[in-house]
Amino acid sequence: MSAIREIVSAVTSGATSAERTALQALERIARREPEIGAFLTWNEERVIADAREVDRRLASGESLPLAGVMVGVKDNMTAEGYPASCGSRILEGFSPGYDATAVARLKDAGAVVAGKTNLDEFAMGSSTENSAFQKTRNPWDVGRVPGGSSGGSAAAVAAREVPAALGSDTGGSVRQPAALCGVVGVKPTYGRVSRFGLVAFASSLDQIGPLATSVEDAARLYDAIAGQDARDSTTAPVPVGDPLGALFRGARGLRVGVLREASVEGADAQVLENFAEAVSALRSAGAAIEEISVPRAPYAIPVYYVVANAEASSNLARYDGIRYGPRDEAADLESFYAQHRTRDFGAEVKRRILLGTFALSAGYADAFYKRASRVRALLRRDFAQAFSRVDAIACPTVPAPAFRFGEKVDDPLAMYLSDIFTTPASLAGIPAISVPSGFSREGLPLALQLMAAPWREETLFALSAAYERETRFTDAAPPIAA
Amino acid sequence: MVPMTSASENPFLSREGVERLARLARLRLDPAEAAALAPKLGHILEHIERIAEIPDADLPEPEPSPATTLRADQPVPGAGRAELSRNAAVTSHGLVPVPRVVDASR
Repeated sequence: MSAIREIVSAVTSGATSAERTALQALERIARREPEIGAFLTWNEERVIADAREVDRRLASGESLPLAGVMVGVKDNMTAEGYPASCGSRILEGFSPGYDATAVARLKDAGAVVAGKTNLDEFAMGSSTENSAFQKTRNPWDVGRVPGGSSGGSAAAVAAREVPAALGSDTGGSVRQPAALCGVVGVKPTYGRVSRFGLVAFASSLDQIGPLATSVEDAARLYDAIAGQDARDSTTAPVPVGDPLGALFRGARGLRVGVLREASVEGADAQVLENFAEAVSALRSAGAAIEEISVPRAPYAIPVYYVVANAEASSNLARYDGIRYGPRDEAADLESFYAQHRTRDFGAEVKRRILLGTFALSAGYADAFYKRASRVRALLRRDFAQAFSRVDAIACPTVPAPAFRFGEKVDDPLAMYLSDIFTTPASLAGIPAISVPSGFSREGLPLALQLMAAPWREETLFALSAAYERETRFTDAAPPIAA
Repeated sequence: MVPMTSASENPFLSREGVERLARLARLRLDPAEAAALAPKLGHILEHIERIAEIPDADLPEPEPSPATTLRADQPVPGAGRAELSRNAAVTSHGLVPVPRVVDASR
């Protein structure tokens, strides 16, 4: 079921207007937010003005593939008229005044920014508990986390406050919260979507991706945001192809490799049981199933936490308290830097900056950063070899369903291991999708992850849409969305 | 397995080591914070050291960054000083002040 197709059809046919659609979404947001806390900011006047502009463009004859679709935007991306806090005190009150390319492309297609969604500070986390501003609750069980770091975007979509949202994925930050909240999340190939206007965390890994309630809706957002951008030199001149056409190609003729290393990675029993059912459904949908090995996948977490933290410690060096954010005076410049960074960065960000500083420090850089980069190169080779045999690789998205607030806060390593299945694709720069695959015994969402060779997002959309038709798990919505 | 850091070398196993890294990262930690962080970071580091399990001979050199496609330079209007300094908490004569960098007594 495509929520976006229904909205676009109703708005473009004149059955309703973008303005009316926006007012309905604002009403849903106002009603559900006290319980969910997905949005950091939204601006009703701005939303209504933008929706009226969409109605005006439609009336002038423009064709808008996302006419009237309300989208949440993770607060580490810029959107004109909105702050971009990154969930951090150090950027509190910062208002960038321009649109990220991904946001601009959604607006060009007729979407309306509903507001900015909550996240772990600087996208560092797997539960959104590291936000400096508020807690976001999982719509399926408000005593549990929504995942992270794009927890606000995932919760807003799962609670049906908005039909879709943008997140960013560095080590799983779109796919993991999508899995825990029972929605679809896509991490495109590195270089597929412009990062212009995305605040950098780990520049060799960061990628923007959509979250939506169905594979088709995720593909519709992806179709709008993908493609080279002159303002981000890491985007590649590779044709986007036809992701919407791919939705109806089916799974027949596609070879899916079941990741051998998935069964030894410490996933809980019901996750593995659910994954086995998902593989059966892929087979029923027509895919040919075989086992595949990516031998260095078990090293992805240690490699990721060297590479990502090293890049983060460098990227976050720019936050000095001078040009934006709340300011106090100090006797000298060194004290000024340390005072602001110490006061305004949260505990997890400091932890990662320290780890990254260590990995890059004299005497340790070769043993840690360089060695991790070499293991990463080996992992990429493993994937390249695997994709010479299969079209896609399947594994669970998460090792366990959504956990309770506070459960992993004091054990950062346990939190990092939430990303055990998502970091391999991030390090390899390959596309991956998370699709709902049913529920745990407690009624919490579980998810299937599919990965493909670079630039083969179409394969992921074909396969996951076939899986979705076979299982219909994306039809389920949490009671709060009723 | 090649040991990456011996316990005595591992800077996260001591409060002083954490404080030294904090100075490099322009962060301040009081002794209690540094002491509390040391074992947590040490625990993470132990996990990271798993990358030493792969024999050196198996490891390729790091891959170069993918080639980037550069556009031709084009002059475009800038946002202007007022817009760019709008987010600064304090401005003075159109500039953002910082603590004195040059020692005035010299």
